[in-house]
Amino acid sequence: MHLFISWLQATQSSLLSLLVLSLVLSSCDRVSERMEITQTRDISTYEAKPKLHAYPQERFGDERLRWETPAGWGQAERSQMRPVNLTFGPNKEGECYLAMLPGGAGGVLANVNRWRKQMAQPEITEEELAKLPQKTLMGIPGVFVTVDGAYTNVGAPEAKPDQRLQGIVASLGEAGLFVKMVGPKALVEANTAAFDEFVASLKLRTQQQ
Amino acid sequence: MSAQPTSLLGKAFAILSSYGLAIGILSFLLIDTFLGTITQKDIGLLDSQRIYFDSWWLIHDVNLGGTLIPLPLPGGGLLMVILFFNMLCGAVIRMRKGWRTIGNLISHLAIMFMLAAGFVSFLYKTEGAMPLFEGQASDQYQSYHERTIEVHRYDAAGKGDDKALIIPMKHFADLDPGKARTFFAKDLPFEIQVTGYQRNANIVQAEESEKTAIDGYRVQPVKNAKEDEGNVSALEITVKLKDTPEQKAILWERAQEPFTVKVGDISYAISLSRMKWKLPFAIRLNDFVRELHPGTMKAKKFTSHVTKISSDGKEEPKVVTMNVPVRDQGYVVYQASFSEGSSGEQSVFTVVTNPSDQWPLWSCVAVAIGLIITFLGHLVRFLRRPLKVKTT
Amino acid sequence: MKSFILVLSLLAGSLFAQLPDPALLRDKDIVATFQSLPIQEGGRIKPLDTYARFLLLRLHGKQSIAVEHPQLPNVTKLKAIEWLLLSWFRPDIARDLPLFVVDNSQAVGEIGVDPKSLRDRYSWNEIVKGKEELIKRAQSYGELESDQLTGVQRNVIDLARNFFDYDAVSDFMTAARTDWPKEISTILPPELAKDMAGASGVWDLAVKLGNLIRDQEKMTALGEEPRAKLLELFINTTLRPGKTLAFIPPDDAKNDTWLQIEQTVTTLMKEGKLPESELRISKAKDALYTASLKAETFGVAAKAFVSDVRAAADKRGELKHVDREVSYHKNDHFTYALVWYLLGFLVAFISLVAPKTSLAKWSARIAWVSILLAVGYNVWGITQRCIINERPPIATLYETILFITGVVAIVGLFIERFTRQGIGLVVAGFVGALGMFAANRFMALDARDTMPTLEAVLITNFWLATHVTCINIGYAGAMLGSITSMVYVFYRLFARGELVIESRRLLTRIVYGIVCFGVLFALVGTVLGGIWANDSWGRFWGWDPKENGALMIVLMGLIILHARLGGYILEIGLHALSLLLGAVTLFSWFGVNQLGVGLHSYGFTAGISLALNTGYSV
Repeated sequence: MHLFISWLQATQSSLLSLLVLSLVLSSCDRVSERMEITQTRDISTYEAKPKLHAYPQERFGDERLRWETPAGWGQAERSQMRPVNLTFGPNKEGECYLAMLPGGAGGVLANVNRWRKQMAQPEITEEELAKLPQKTLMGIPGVFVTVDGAYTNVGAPEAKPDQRLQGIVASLGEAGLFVKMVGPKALVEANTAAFDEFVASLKLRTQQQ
Repeated sequence: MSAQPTSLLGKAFAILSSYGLAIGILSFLLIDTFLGTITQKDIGLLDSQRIYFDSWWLIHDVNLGGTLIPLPLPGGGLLMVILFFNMLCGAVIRMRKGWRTIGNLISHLAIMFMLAAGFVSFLYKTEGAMPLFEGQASDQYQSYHERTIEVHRYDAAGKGDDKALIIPMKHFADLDPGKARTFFAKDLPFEIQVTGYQRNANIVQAEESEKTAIDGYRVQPVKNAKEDEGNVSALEITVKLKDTPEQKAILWERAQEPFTVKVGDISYAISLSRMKWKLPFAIRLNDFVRELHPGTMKAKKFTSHVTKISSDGKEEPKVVTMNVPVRDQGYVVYQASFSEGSSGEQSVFTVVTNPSDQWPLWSCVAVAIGLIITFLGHLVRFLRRPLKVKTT
Repeated sequence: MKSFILVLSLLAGSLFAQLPDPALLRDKDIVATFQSLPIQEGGRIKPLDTYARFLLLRLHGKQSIAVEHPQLPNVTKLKAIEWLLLSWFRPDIARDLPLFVVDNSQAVGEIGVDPKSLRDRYSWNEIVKGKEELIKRAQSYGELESDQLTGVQRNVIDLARNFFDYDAVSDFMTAARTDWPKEISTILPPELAKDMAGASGVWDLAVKLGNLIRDQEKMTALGEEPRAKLLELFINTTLRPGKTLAFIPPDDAKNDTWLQIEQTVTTLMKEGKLPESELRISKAKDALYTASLKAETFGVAAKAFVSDVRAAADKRGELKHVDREVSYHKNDHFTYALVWYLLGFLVAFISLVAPKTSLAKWSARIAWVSILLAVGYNVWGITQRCIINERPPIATLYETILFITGVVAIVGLFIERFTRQGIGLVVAGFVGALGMFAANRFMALDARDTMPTLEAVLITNFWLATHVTCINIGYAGAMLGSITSMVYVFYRLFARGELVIESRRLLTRIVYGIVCFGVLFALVGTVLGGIWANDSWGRFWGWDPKENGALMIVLMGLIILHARLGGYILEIGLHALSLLLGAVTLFSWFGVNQLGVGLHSYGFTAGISLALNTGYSV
């Protein structure tokens, strides 16, 4: 009997300490302001590889535009003015971008002449414009412009010689839609097929998801 | 045992093993259950479970004629722990052992075992979803509720490491806007400061003038969904790399791609996502069959014909259907639901691993046996007594 | 002038001479024949009788309709199937009958129809006057969230649904009544109409029209207006009424969806052909109408039609329980059970208030017989349902009422067998009558087939047999304990004397025993439920409302047992807690379903507060 009681007391005390312990344990897992990352997880071979260096628009599914970047081309920083901004050439000397002007673009002729001016070429007339080849850009009919000359970029101090500008000017009412490609003449010529491929791949994503 | 206990421990034991304590605990548990049930209408299941059942204590606001009166109550977790020890002391240690009490002993031990099963599953159970399109295979499942921040390293060739660093939800879920915490790891060349956790949020384009915008976006908090599965969380991070300016980014659970930090040739993909676990085998969905009651849209049966692919490449066909899960290597795969999208039918499985998976079954059998023994004994005595009254 | 008279007499002829005799539609043999026609509805094969009953219950609030109509001399009441046949073959009469029950007469006023008193009934002919307004209102209310609707708005939506459902049902035979050559000749230009000549019924016409529809050129030449008129004619006479009933077993044995006229007629138009049996049964439906014009042909045609469908169903193995279901509804076991329970209760009550007399002895014997009979009806009804559904007794809320009532009555009889105080009889009779009454009210309020097909997760006979049965026996125990405690309260308040103290002591022991019984089943049933959940969803316990409800019963039961063992409660305490257990049981039985069940829990909520108040008042 004595044995039983002592066993009982032992059990009681161990039980109590257990109870106390469990209460203490729950509150000791405090977070400090600096913490080391200790946990890891195994990556599954079935997991799809994410796209690295994605733009915020892509990450947040806010991508209204969809396109395929032609092989060998790179991406440059995009902006409100240039929602698609690509580069090409061994030293990224060529650039190709999509620009959109929601209103006040000033019509097709004005824009074509703006480009010609950048290439230090004389303005053309309405009749000459009508003779230019046609190309559609994202389903909107536009004119295909090719201008050779010395290129002065907006804000650039001096002109680069022996350049070619080619692009499409499309307009829908007041709004203007442009694809412009500029670079050394030979390089642009070599990338004309890629340009067409890029233009064909441009799509406006329907608002879903 | 009849003597009054004098020592402190003795008194404590007397209380711990008393009927009074049992009644008190059961009553509070009843109250918690009732409150936790009716509040589900407003706050959803997960939150009410956390507040009322997984907790040590809680405060319930009683609505008395429009004014809310805070009523402190012991939480379900605390009650169940005390109940366990109450049964241990009262029904196992203190109870007279004999044939008359054997049924009681069995049923109480069985209930204790069931509580233990609950405790084990509370600690060690993982549960998640595995959605698969027909033809698709996977060997991982993701949590319904637990979020993590993941950092995955890619080398110059774009090849990812076998493991990713993860920060569990409990280390950042408390970081409301204004609170921040910095995380570091010895393999990581930068530190990550986390702030502004939102349980349910959208990412919206910021106005140009907004100072707090990151990359032209900001986090817009949204009212919590009724069921936690519907919440899409978001937070802000600042990546601090020595000798370079800080980089800020928004992480969002529904982001399609991770945020990437480049250090030399090495890229680090950082994302906020549901906790993922890996299975020791993979499952490929071959065919999903949805049967309806004829002439209606009411489901009769969901069946998934799958192939289990072992790590050694061995393939084995299995069938998962409602009420009949597949149990394998400690994992259980259930047919949970399905979705029908433009890209075909998607079967959703629930994958669970729980060390105490089958304990309740054994416990149930024992409880039933124990109670039957006890109550049959009562019944026999009950039936005998009126006869005695009549004969005397 | 001459031709006008001719037309008039023709019209009169078609109105008076060429309509089926309504008396024929109540002919015993004909009614019995149609009752046993197998049809498919809600995913299962059932007799037309069941369809008629629940259609009438939904529209009218009862399974029969009281009538007073000059064309129905000496008839005061129509059975559901008779009403359905009248609606099919004589819609001109059926549309006069006060059919649609409207809870709030304001709903009728809203659509410009003269309102009668509360919960009154309106005929098709009355409602049709406000048809346009009904559509407009129902559509605009339908756009609101259902929890924002007022009672009247809900009534308007229900009325609209019921009205248009019945409108289509009453047009079921319209295609057979239509003079197709005439209708077509008013729509199509003469040369096209000539092509259609010789097509007497809709089925010949459908083939010919199908050819026309597939001919793009002719269709374009036809122009917008005739095309629209043609479509309208088909919708009104054939397609819309044809959607009301799936009675054509598909020829393809693998296809388990029975066909409606709407489907067979469109298939015939689209493809120009139809499997022979499908076309035969489709045509036979219209031939029924022609046959119904003469007494000597109707019976034969009806028999031939129904046995044709039955044979096809039988070949598919789908006729098994159709006749049993007809007799299940006809025999109405639960109403008989209600009567016998009630009688038993009243007689047993006499023996309780006048104990130890020969009157008591005899009334106890009568009560025994009466309640045994009632239990017999109760159990037999449940058994019939099990056979028809091919599953264990409980899968719906309605069935829990039937089952729990039966269990309480049986356990009550057992208690009586051992205690012989009349208490068991009183309780069994009381709960039995109350339960059967509640089941009946529940069915009327729900107004849907009480044998629905089940959700996928419930289709498992093993768990329905174990967990569901167990937990409902637990509910029954808790309810029985609670009712017995009410008897105790009754004794305490109204009875005096030596014997009463003994009875009270006995009641206390009975309640304790029943609570033990209830806890055993509730606990095991709850844990079994967890095991089922673990097998179907991957978690043993999820704190879901239904689970919590069961847990609360178990907890309350355990509190009672431990409080009793610990000596914290004696008589009064035990009964008070037992009443509380009853309230908890009602909460988890009906309360947690409140959102899903809506209004139906109202009566039971009153019960809860009653039980609670009784508990407090002790």
